[in-house]
Amino acid sequence: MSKIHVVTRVNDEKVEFLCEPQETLLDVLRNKLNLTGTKEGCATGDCGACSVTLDGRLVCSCLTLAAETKGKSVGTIEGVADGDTLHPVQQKLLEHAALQCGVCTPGYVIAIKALLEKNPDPSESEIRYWLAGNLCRCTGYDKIITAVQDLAGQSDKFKEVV
Amino acid sequence: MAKVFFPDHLMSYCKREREVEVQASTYRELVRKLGARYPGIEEVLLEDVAVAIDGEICHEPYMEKIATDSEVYFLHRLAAG
Amino acid sequence: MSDTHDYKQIGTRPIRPDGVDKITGRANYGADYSLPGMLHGVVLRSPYAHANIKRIDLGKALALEGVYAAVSGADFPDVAAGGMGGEGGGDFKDLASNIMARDKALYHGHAVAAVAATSRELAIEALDLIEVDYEVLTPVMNLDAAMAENAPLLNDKIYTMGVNPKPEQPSNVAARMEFKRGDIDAGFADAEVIVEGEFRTPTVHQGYIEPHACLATMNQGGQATLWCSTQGHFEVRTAVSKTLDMDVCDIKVIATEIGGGFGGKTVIYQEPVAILMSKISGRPVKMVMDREEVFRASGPASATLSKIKLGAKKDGTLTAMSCWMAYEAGAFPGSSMAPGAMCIFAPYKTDNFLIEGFDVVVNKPKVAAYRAPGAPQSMYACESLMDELAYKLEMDPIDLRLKNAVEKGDQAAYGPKFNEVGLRECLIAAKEHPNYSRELTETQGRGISVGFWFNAGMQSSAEVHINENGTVMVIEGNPDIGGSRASMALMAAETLGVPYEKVRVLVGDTETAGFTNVTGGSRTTFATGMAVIQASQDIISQAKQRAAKTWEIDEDQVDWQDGHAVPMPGVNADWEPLSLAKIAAKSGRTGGPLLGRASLNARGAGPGFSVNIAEVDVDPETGKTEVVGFTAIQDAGKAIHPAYVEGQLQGGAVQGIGWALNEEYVYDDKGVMQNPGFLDYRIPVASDLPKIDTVIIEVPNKAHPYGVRGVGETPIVAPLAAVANAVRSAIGIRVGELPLSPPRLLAAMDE
Ligand code: FES
Ligand code: FES
Repeated sequence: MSKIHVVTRVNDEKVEFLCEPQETLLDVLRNKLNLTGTKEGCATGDCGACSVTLDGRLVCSCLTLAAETKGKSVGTIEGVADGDTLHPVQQKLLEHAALQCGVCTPGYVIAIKALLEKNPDPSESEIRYWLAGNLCRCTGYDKIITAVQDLAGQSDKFKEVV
Repeated sequence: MAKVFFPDHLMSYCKREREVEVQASTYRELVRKLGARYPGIEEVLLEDVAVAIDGEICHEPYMEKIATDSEVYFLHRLAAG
Repeated sequence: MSDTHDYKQIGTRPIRPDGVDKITGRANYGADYSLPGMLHGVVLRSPYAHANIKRIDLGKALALEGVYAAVSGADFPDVAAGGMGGEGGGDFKDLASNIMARDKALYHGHAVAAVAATSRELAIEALDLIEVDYEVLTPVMNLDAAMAENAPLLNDKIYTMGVNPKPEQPSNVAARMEFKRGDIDAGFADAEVIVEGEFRTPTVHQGYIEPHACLATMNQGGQATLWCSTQGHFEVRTAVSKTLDMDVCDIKVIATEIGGGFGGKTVIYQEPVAILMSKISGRPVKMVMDREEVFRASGPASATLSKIKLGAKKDGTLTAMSCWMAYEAGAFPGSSMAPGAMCIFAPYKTDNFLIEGFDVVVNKPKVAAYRAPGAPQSMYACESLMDELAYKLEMDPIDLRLKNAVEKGDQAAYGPKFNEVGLRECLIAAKEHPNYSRELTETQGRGISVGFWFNAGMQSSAEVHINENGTVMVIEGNPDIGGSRASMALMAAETLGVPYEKVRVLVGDTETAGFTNVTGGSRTTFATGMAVIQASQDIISQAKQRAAKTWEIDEDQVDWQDGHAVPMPGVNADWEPLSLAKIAAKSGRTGGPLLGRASLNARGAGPGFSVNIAEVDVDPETGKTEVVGFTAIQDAGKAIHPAYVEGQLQGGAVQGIGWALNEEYVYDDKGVMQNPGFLDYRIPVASDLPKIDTVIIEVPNKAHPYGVRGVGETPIVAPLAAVANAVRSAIGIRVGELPLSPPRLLAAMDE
């Protein structure tokens, strides 16, 4: 099988790679581009650890083919902080001690940021349903939800939708 | 004298005595004295059990101090989660 | 309730030292490491739950271009039987046979061979070329089948231990244990009310989000380096040395960041396989399980059956307690039946009790520890029946427990007398909590339960280095699963009188940190914390010596206050206080760098009690249970970083809720698990849950300088019965089998 040549943007940077047609974006990010901040918890779309954005839309990178990203823009955890400043979502999750082992955390940062960009003032139940695709086994979700509630209603921080 | 209590799983060693009094100032001395009384128990008490001395559990007892009014209980060593 | 100490930093909620790395994706977990020339290892797993392995031929797999190693059981050294220490810890021979089957496959998914190739895809292709002849045997899939007369045997060398005289026939019952005190018959004769019940719990998984992962490389001198996600890299080193017959000094283990463990990463699966294949190929080998393998081949917790009976006076005073309990061990002996048995009656004053426990092998993966191993299952049984007793006595369930709750000086059912414990305080806090008295609707119910875990001490080491500007480096050996670097830094900061922000914590590998037992047993903050405190005290005494030298006075004329050496009151000297920074800056002329050390085997771990209040709503149409409120109350001794203590309570609560309501391994009649993924093995998600309210009780543990008791495990114990009791109160029927899934509740309500 011949490999596919893909030119795409990852975290606002032009990126080129060769991949197999069936290769997932997750595998390419982790194994070819050395962006290991995106995690694999299941590879079947059930845990959200691999969350990234594709043209601003939240997707599971384990269910996204790498070849699909041609000409698009991928956002990963490595691109969330602005230079040496943490993104407000990152800052709040830390302040609320909303991570224990932290392996689910990159996925949450991406998912929460996507939520707030879409809906800057979500209710508790909107937050819980939006994040239902992100599994966390350590925290019982409580502090994650509280951290998001703490950010809700601060629309000025989340207006730039990619 | 310290009070020593045996659990069920040590009954076969200690002639089914549940409670004995022993004069000892360290765990090793206690074990040595028990060993003289109950042949074969010495190794078990050094290698296989945990001990609670006055309520403080020690996983791998050896040279812990024993007071004259101490209470000593043996228990299973536990795996941790 | 809380102690009177005036701490400056302990009890605050600073951001964890490793926080930024973890929130930006920089932190490296088990699967995040690579090396040049690295191969990918994958495992061939038994398609049968129970089979003799007649022949394995690796030839065709090895012949495939790009395959550099292939191994099966025959390539591993023979391992002598021998304990890993600890009841239920199992033995190294079993561990070795679990890592790679020898002549028998004992569960569906049991490793029978492995391949290392230049890519994962190629390695998987090579697995198809391995030829294995199996003689398929009847699988033994549950306690009833395993304990039945004439049951097929998993291992004809297993004779039930703990039976006198030694049985003449082998059996699937690996061990029998008995714990008793007093006169059980007299106790029941004395009772005015007797309740009995049978309770079952299913096989469940720890469900850590990060699958097992490791990277191994062995050089031509026989020295191996291993990166792996583990709760205890020193124990990994021991296990690798035993299973590969290597010298401990030839194995360096680097604990990567760990994506959850809950007990399931205290054991090893792939590590020796990766090292062996690296040795054979001369190249690094990386092995990462996929989620299906995690379910099929790594650490579930025991399914159990408990038959329990309680007798009490009309005023609620317990007169007798008995329990017959059987725990599935999986494919090899060593369930957590013993701790389960030791916990079950621990909360109560009991003169007469009898516990009979059985450790039973079945054709499922070898069980691994899961948070307070053994306790959730047994205490689910006891606390459910305590609830029934409360109904029968028409007593408030908290009052019933208060009537019998242990306190300082009472003899625990598992042996020793308790020192200070916080059970009564937890019960009173529960009773006074607004969540205990708020209105419920028709379909809602409330339940409470007590939880208990011993907590462990064990061995730890720590070093404290003072940098030239007075900032602090702590080196310790416990992988940080839940924020432990923050608690180590807080304890060092408090002890030294240095701001938290100036303390860094390194989790050293097996060559940089002193020997330290696992992050498990709720021991890290307690035992390793104690080592960090002692190493910090070592620094203080050295700093006082340096100040004495600087001031040309005697050491005993120097005191330590707020991070500064000061002359003792009354010492005739008007020296300016010397900060740690000032002392460190000039340490070259007072004797060299400041380096504090401590190593210990911590005794006096304080037992942890909890009380949980669950509030549920059961839909009478569908049988679906929604948890509408949950309150976790627990004695932490002293919460070093309260936010992470709350996190332990909340996370444990939710794991327990999953255990109670959804989670279970579902098998077909051939012994094949039907739900090996997060879609069908459903752990709770955010939208399933309410806020988890927490109350931290602080009854200090006198054996720890700051009063700490472990908090990591107790939280998972009480939720099972709390939820089950809430469901009982909502539907008016006791369903004695977990999970309380919609079909099961619907069936019960229809009856
Ligand atoms: S790894 Fe993609 S959803 Fe789990
Ligand atoms: S913090 Fe461990 S899985 Fe979420």
